[in-house]
Amino acid sequence: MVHNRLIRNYLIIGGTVILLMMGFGILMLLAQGGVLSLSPPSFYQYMTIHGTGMIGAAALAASAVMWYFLSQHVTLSKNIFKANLVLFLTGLVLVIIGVFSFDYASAWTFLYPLPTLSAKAWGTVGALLYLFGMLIIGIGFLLLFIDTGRAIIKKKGSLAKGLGWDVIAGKKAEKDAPEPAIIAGTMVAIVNVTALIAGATVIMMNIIHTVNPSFTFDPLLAKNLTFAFGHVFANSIIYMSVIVVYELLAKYTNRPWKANKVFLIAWSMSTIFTLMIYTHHMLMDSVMPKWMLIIGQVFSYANGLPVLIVTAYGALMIVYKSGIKWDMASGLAFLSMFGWTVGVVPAIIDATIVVNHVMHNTKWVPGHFHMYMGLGAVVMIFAFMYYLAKVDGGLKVTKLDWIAFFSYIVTMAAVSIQFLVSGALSTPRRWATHIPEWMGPALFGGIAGVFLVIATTLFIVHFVRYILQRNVKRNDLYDEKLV
Amino acid sequence: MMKLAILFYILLLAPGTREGLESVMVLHMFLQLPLLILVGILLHGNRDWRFLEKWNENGVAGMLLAVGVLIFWMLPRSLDDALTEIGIEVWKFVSLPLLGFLWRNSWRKIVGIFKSFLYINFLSMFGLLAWLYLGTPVQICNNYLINEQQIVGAVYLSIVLVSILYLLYLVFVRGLEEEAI
Repeated sequence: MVHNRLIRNYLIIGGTVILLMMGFGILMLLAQGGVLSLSPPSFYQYMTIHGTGMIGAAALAASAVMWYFLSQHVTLSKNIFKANLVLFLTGLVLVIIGVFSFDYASAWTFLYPLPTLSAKAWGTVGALLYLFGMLIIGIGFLLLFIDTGRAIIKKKGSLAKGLGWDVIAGKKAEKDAPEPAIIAGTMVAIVNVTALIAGATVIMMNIIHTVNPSFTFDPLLAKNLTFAFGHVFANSIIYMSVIVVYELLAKYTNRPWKANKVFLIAWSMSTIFTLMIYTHHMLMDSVMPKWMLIIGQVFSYANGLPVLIVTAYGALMIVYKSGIKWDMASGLAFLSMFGWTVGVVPAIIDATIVVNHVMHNTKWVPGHFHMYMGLGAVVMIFAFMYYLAKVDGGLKVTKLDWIAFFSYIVTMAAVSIQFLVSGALSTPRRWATHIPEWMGPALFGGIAGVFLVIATTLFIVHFVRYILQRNVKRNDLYDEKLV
Repeated sequence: MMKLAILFYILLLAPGTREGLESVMVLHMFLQLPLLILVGILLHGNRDWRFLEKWNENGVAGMLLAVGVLIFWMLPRSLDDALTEIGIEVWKFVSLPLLGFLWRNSWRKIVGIFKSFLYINFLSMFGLLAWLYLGTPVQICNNYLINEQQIVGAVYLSIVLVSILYLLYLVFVRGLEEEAI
């Protein structure tokens, strides 16, 4: 039995933090909508904790999804998995103290030289607590992804074989291709170790600058490293979570999700492209080398497609005429395919240089990532939570869960669309105060957010019921149960 | 091995060698310091050193101490002080061989994942130092000019690039042997 208490801890912490962060999101939208009086410093503190918490919690829960399925194929270290959770919680406490006790509010991107130059909105201690918190969280994840990479290399021989390059080259038959969980795990290990190296470098640089501001650095290189960390790390969440789609649909339809050459090539392309496309965050930096900006545009187009297409198409094919019995887990997994597909569209539009110059500093961008994360990556995590509650605890869903399912779709879509509409209205993002013409969509989003929180609470309550179950013989080996 | 280490150490202590290596920043940082570490490694040799068995059983304590010393000597300030304060200079000639000794003793004991972690951690640390020495517009050391610190930065950057290539070779081509990374 692969499943253990640690997975549940990861998921309940991740899920609860996501829920709490939604609360901060609502407060910000209501303030922008003009119905809540929130001081600008508080708004930016909420924005900082909302972004940091959402990415951190989603990454934590997604890593549990990956660990759960990957550990069925390779030997992962439970101690490292445990250490990551401890380091995450330690870092989180530092971040919370930095933000709420010392007024730190640079947004989760901590863009140099903002941690130091705050116009006295916050001091050195707040910045250091936040930056050290992020560093500690990063160390935990780095250990986890190193362990992942090492385990895959031990099993397969190299990361190249983990991505199935020997199969692509024709040295091995397609039937011997690595399992999708191993392929995704390899990809994530590669991109996240790279991202975390960049992140550690730029965070340490920010720490040095905060302690001694006379040490100045090249802001453009700092921004490059920041997004080489932030974009890649945030992006990897969906690549960890998607493993549940491969595993769950294959089990439910009783059809194996076998990797073929097209699948392997798609994942290899995404591995390389994911590392390259952070430059689409730099399209407004006119001093960037032109070739890098072109890379940002071209490969952002390209990266949106390979894994998404093979996964979405694969999901349709595996379900087609399979006689699958839909439940919450499979429904959420299928919904996430839809969310991922529609969520990348605004990003691809924004990655077009001429559009980016107009749209990038508007709420169009939060529109993209709320749709992509809220209807894609996070839904995959909820799918896994329902899957686990069903196969491991045998917990039945109620009508309330289904109501929550449909409410979640409608309200998450509403929150995302109001951001996109605001973007189309040229409403700037990261502004605490809105003029009346901008307030309508924000207020609509805030109200939708309240119902979104209710729906998400019902998801979490279901998982808590599963955790609190007593006298249940746990067994999460689906195949065994099927027999 | 031990004789070689002592010979090496005496050679490095000799006024001519010492002043020659310390007069140029890049030689100070990338020749004298590594050679002093090498003295410690040679001194350790292949012996078991039983007195270390108890408190450095799994290599973590020794490695933490070694990394701490290494970080100290990566700081520009330390390099500068070694030239002007005799106490720091003595500390350099004591701490770096000790670092090498502890490193040699601990490396074979620590588990694979921490070796990988250290390797990857050094990539970001060396990258940061490359950036610091290359990018900062101010003269960091009193005893060395800006152009010298830029050469040091370039060497740091070269080490990072070579290390990345080696890492890629290990994980994509050669594969993992427990002792490799």
